[in-house]
Amino acid sequence: MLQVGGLRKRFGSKMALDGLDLKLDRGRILGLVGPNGSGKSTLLKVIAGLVQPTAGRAAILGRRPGPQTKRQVVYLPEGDCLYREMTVGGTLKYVSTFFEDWNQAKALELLTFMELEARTPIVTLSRGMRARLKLVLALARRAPLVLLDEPLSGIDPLSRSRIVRAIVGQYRPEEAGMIISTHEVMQAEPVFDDVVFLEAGRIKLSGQAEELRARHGRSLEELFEEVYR
Amino acid sequence: MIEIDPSLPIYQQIIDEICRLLVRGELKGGGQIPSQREMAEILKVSPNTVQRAYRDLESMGVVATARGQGTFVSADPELREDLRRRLLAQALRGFAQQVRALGFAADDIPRLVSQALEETGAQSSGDVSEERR
Amino acid sequence: MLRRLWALFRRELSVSRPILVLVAGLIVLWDLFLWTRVGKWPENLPESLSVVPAFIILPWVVLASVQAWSREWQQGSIHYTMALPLPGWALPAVKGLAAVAEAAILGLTVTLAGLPLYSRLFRFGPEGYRLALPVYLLNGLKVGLVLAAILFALSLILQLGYIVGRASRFPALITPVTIACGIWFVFRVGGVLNRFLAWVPPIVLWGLSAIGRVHQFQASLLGTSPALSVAILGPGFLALAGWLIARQTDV
Repeated sequence: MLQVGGLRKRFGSKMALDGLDLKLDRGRILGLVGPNGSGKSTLLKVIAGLVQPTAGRAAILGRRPGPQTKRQVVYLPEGDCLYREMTVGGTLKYVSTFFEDWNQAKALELLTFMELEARTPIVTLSRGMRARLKLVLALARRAPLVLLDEPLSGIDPLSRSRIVRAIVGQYRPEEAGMIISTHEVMQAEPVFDDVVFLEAGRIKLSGQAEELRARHGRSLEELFEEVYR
Repeated sequence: MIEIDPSLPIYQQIIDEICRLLVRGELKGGGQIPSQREMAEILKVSPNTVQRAYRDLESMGVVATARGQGTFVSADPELREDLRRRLLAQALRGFAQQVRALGFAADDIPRLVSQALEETGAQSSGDVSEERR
Repeated sequence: MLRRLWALFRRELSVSRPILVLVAGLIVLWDLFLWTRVGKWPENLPESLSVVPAFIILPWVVLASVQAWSREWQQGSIHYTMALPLPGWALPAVKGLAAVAEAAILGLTVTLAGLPLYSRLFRFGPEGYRLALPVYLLNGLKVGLVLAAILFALSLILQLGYIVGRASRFPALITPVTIACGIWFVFRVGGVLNRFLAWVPPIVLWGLSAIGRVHQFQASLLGTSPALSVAILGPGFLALAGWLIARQTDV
């Protein structure tokens, strides 16, 4: 349901994506791993419709990224992306206005799970709380394609397993495909069905997670160390 | 519950652990195990991985899913015995491989086994009495 | 769709609200201050000065239009905003409208807070020849609408300049150049459109004037064709901005 072919993206003199081919079927969780600057974020931004490729194409359920596909894609950007003038509750309300697949009951449930309160202003939130709010905004929607860009960064190591549990718990394989980009391979790798190792905008290694484990006899994290030595 | 070792296929570890729990009696025959969704959430693994494990367990006859009711472990005592033997065979094969890899001769093995049994004797008799209770 | 545009609009306003309230408050204070100077300062000076705050409106629109985007990039919220399922023209349109709405609020503040003062400038004239307040307000409304259309188009040019600059290698250079081109374009094309729209009747503003000792009503005419041509170009710039955002912007 997601097809990427020959994707290239140039930023000035740098090739962020250099000929990527990718396919994701419904019901699969794809792990996108690679060091910083390997093109993970750029790839997700192209799929989410934030960045226009220099060459190649991406198709979500057959359509090019645009206002229509944005309805069908949940995108969790990395880093600071919240609206500073709002409160937690205000952000939920604002975002819910734009998406028909928003589930308010689920949002409130997740809010409690993430230990956040609606009245809190965004500016007073710690980095970890902001990361958790971003996840609430992402998981409260039901869309065919879910893109999580570094969902675990900013979350303290103790909470990470809880967050992974929330991601798995909310995931609906019958309806959705998910791409999780991370360089925290250890915590997230048991969740991946398929994995793609990126380097300098190209795919260095890809395959099914279990198959790679069996073939190489090591965890994806160990494979990561090896691939990027 | 299960410690997932990410360097080995996860679905296999789930299968092995369910079988182990059944053999050790921690899972009673006819008892219920978590649904696929619940299992995936508890273990923090992909639902597809759990699905694969459950499918294999069903084809082995270890579990059966009753639609709308849940997944239940087989109450068949023969199956349990069969699994017990299979797990032992697996352990023994692994043991034999390790012995060879360490360079010991086949003749040394009985002596080494007796020694090991003695050393772990206090431990295992403790375990057995736990089970009997 | 309307609900979403309204949510966007409300958000834009709520971000500016603190400063808007501050500036409006300062205008009121200024007029109060001038009121105390009546009789103490040279004649008609305080009354005339009450109109001075109107000059803040143009800089406000300029700043608001650019900041509407620069703030998003600074905060990082641009990633979220651009991931919203909106057509390309929605964001510049709403940000432009918000800038104009804020300008209107400031304009209203200047008009209403200064009313006791500058209305005194029209003291002269015998009873029967005083223009009723509603006429002044109607004049104000007509001028206000024309200004709003011009300011909207200006806001779009500014937004375009910022976005184009951002997407290029030398934003500090490209942005002013784009804005200058935009304004030049408006005058050029506006001039051409003028000729085609010459048949449109002018806007009539009623005023009171005195020639010698004779008072009479007089209508000032405000050419509509320049305003109309700007009003037509506005959507043109909007479409351009929308296309640019949808196709070319990299976030």
